[in-house]
Amino acid sequence: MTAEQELELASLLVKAQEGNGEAYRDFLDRSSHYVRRFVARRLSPAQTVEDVVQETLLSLHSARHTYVPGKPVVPWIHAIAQRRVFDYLRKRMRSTEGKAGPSFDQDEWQPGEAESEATSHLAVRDALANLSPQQRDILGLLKIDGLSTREVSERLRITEASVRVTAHRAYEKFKSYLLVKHYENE
Amino acid sequence: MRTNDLISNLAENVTPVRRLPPFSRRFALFLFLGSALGTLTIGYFGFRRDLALVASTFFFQLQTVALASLFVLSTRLALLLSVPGERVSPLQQKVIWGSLVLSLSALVAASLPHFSEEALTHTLATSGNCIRYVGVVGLAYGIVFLSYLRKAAPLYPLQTGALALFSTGSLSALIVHFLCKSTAPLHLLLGHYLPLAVVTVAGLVLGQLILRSFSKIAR
Repeated sequence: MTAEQELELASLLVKAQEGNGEAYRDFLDRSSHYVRRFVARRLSPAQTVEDVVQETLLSLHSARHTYVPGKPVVPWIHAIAQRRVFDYLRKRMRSTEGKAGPSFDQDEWQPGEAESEATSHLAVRDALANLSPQQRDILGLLKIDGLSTREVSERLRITEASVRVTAHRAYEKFKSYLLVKHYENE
Repeated sequence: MRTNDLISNLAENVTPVRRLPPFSRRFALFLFLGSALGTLTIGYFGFRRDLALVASTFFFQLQTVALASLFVLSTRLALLLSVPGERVSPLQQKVIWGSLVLSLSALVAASLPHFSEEALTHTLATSGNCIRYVGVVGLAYGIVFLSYLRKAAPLYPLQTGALALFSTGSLSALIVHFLCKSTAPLHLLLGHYLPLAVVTVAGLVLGQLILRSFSKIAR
């Protein structure tokens, strides 16, 4: 967005704060393009992007009184959009955890869907390096070699419960590492 | 609902809004409120009796400056965080939490050698006034501050609430610093910090509920 476009957007928002419906429509319309691009770089598929765009527009509406005329408008929109993306990711993580329950094998969370293949590869490699050797082994046997919990416990000579607990902890650590990296890259 | 329909719907029903005052005015308002509350409280209860003696000591001056700076800094950060797009330096936040941890650790360390059941009972029995001062100031200022922050749009309710309560805590501590002459570590810990911790925890729960409403509106 150029400086001139940003000024125009700010002046539309100032008019909207005074109750001008046409200016507000124009402001929301232009903001939605910016927000859509921002969200689409971080999330997919299209339906999710549109949901988050709509939530961001509602938040812009609720917070429109907090914009101070003369201040840059883009960081203001950006902060709200970023928060909505974060809320969406958090909600998705919670619902995935809720469905998966304590069993590691059922978890279907796919980290970094919208990231490029190269970035994802590097992030996954770093996340694996962040695990302890035992966690890495168990995760590899379960997820890459496709062994069952019992087979892993027999191979490593540890109890099945221990495999489950270690796998669960490894997975949590893996997931939070990827999430933190995702935000650091933003 | 399609995004275009949502935009039309919002634009059709838009009403004029009362803009949030500029940051400098909001900041000045809360510094003024803090000072007014301090003046009123000290005016009502009276200065500590040994103020004339201790006022010129380096330790007293250092404590006063540190508490006042923490109050100013945490008020500023809480007000900044309540508005989307305002930047808050992580270093400033670390200064706040670091000073809390340091002062608490120092007090706990200093209290441990004097700790006994008898000392505990005695301290609790003689700390009633301080608990009242801290509770009254903390609750009055904390409720006003949290309600005011709610009028903005805090995107991070927990962080904003915690800073608001830290601001309240440092104001209470600053005021009590002029009221109470005791410097016994156990008294400071139980008579000053404990009620502050209770007010802070209560405030955090309240703050989450009060400030989170912005996020709820948006959903």
